[in-house]
Amino acid sequence: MELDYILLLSALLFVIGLFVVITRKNAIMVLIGIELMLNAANLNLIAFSSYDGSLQGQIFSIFLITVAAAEAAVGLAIVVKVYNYFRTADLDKINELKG
Amino acid sequence: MVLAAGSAVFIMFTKNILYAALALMVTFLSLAVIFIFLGAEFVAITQILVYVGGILILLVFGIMLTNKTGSTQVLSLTYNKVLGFLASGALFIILFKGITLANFAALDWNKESESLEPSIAKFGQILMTDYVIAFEIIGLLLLLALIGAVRIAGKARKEADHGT
Amino acid sequence: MMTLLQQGDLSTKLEQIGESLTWLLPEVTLVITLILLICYDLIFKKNKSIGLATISFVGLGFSIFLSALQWNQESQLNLFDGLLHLDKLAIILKILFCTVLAGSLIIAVKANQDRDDFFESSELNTLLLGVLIGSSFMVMSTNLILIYLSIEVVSISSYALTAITRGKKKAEAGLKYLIFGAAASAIMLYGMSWLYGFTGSLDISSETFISGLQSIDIVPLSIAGLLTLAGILFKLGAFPMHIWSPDVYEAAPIPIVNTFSVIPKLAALGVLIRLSLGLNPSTIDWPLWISITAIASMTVGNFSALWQKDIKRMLAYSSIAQAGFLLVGIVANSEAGFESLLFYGMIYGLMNLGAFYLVQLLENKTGSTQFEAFKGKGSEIPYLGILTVIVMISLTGLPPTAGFNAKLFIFSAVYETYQISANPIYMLVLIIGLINTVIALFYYLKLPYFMFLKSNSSQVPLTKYRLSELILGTLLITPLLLLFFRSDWFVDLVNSINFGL
Repeated sequence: MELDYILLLSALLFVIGLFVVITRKNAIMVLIGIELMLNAANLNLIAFSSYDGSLQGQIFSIFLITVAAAEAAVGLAIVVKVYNYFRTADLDKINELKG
Repeated sequence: MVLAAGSAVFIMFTKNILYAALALMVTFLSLAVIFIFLGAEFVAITQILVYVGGILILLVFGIMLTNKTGSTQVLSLTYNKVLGFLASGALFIILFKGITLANFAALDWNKESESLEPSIAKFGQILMTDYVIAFEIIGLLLLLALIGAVRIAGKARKEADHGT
Repeated sequence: MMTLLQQGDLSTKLEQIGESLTWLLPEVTLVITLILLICYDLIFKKNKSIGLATISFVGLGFSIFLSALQWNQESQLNLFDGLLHLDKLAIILKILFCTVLAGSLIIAVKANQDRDDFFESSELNTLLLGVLIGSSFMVMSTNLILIYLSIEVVSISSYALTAITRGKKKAEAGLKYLIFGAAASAIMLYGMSWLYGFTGSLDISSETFISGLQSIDIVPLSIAGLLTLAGILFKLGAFPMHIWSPDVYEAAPIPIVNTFSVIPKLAALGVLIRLSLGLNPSTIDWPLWISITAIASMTVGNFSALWQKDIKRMLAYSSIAQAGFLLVGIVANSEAGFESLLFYGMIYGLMNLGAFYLVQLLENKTGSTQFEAFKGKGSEIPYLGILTVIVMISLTGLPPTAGFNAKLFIFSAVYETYQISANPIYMLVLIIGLINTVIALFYYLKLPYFMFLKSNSSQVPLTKYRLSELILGTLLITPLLLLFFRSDWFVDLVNSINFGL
């Protein structure tokens, strides 16, 4: 597999993730989009690391996956709390603070 | 690779959140396969364990917990589609140009071509010697995230005390 | 391909790790404090507040002491084989962060409604310490992995801090903060992965990194640079990543807002300083981008602050504008620029501490943070009004307060750079900065205006403030006046930092 194709794939994933974050209203869909973007960065790192002898990219990936997990956990906790208060997970309707 | 791209596009277009989560799982799995091809077995296994086995389950739980209305399908529509398409399309074109201009494969530091032998032992050593401080910081991060998540989502215990 | 490490290699590496660890004693102290807080909370069931407060303050004090001990040794230390970089820049910022956090905790002690949240259980203290530890690592890191990790430690603690206390607004602010922040850090990661692809190295101060960057075409380099910058600007709260600031500042409790407004901002600036030390403006015209950000932050922050009715939101927009001013120091890209940046940062920490302390006192008595509720307080308690006026003048940057010195230094640094390089963008930044200083006067004086010139129309009799609260306010505000006349102590400190440009 050529490096350029993999980079294009990750660019595609990144852009799709960004699209999902911008256009979706449901909070969990937005989180899904963010995970897509993070995976795109991961793919880049692993692809570059296959050319590098020192496995740095892979280590960065492991840390990245871990941090993404922690962030998702805290994010979902907040989403659940917001749902308890607002009875909806729709970002448009959650708008008490002044703009 | 085509599978990864295809399932990502599916996420983009589907209305149903649960289908989107499942498509995300397909994306993760296909990425893990790509990782194995690139010589990163440890990362691939971690990806499956953490992402599919952890984060995805959390997401599905989140979907379940935030839609107690009892309707059969959980929908999430897209809005501002045109704006989104324009922005993402433009970004993709910019990235495409960037990739081709950079010509990554011909860079100086790429002297060694792929070395795909299993290297988990070496990986562990590097993790524990070169990057040990990062390892410790991650431990701290996970502790803080744990405290935060549990405290945010759970019932405040002080309320129980004051109530009695 | 390399086989497993030989025995000799391994033991030298382990020795090096042990040696580097001793230089991290301040952070280790903070981590031990964190663990002690959690254990104390678990062991004792009731009346924990005094114990928790003591542990926090003692830990912070100890850490400041240990950092100060490291001040006088030889210049730059590479810890952990190039992952961290302990130099005077890092030490000054770390001491500043610990001091600001101690100040936030003092504000929390004085808070009426939220005090229990802070000191009856350890979570808030723990998360605040998490922000502090993350920021300390941020200013020390020279490796992309550690920069990312420490930014995430700060971010995740911040998200939790925003959403953790009870309240509808807080949950909403926390959610928006998290979504925006997670997206920003994902963008930053993508940029960082390209930087890795360009150079094959994750260490931003190494030769391979810098020379690798110089051999890349301008388009991909700009893309990667902008993407990485997005994440850092998010932590800084500058345009265009400033949208989360007003909501989060309005919703969170005041001591936490005080922490947010100083510590992550200055830590992000530390990261920017390290990044910019490596990059030459001839390779890639990054002062241009940062100038655009600085100008936009100052303008957007100032104009939005004029319309605010809630003082916390106003202070949020003012922090966005101040972030713009701080970025002017990075634009200057010279020794003088970075030194004036640090000086401004220290003054800014003091000013914000004073301002938020006064807002907390006002909130204690009136129960809200809207301007309408503060009418007439100045006439009833003149001393408090005077303190407020001094802080606001300092935030604007007028004499006779230290804020004036800070702005003067930063603007003269950028003027020097303009004279050297004759690039019109520097003059533009300078002019817009001066205009914005004048605009800022209008909204900073809004609070004293309401306090003095409008009369209190409600019938509630006002209780007096305790003498201790007023004395504490004086202690926080007087340095602002003193430093105007005798700012050489701080200036000498920053001058002794060798940036190695």
